[in-house]
Amino acid sequence: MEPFSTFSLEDILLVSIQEEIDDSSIEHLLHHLGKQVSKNKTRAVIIDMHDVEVMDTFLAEHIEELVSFLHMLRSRVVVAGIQVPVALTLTDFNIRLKNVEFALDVEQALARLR
Amino acid sequence: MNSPAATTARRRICAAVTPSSSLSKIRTKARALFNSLHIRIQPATELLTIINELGGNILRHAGRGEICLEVLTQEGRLGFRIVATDSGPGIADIKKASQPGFSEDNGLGLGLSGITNLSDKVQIDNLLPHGTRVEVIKWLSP
Repeated sequence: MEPFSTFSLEDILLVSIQEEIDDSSIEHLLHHLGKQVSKNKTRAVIIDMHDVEVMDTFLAEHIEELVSFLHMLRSRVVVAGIQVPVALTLTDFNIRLKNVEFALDVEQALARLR
Repeated sequence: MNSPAATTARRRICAAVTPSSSLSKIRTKARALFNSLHIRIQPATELLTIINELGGNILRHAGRGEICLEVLTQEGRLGFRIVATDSGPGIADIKKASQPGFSEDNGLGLGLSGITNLSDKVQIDNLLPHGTRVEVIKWLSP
């Protein structure tokens, strides 16, 4: 079972990331998203991180890669649901997730995208 | 101040880090240990992030290794020692690797410096004939 799931809401794609995501799963996710975004003419992707309780530099690198890939496909990207302890720890790691738009949760992300 | 005699190791858990088991085993064991000790969510998140970071380095650079987590107590305060070992190629320049921005695999290069920010002590040693041992000590605020 893949550590991610996707759900289409008209021209917005919601991607839920589970904590166990690794290098090979990210590859699958990129391929999967590439197909979905071009097929459905997706204009925005919400990456939901509320299930992620631990985020290290590897996962941060994967998220930046994912965002960069989607930007190349002309999709707006919003990262939603980063938990407070995770955000505090990312700050201690000096991880800034550059060029990423954030929202507190999926609901806020949807409101911003409509 | 931190005499070894005054520092008592009470509990220790270890798990192998392999491509198939990934980091789920050590994370599950660590979470159970933190819950049993009623560790607050922020320090638990920091400790799990350190474990993840060390484990990720093992998987990327050595393929497999081991992570152990020990409970420490000293003069009424609680802490943890995390030791990550592998038999990989070792770190060519340990001093440089601890600086932010340095990465041997074109990653973000923030792992070891981030771990240092979150910890009280980090000791990195290359092992003979090959391999790396990283020891991290983190004391929790009361």
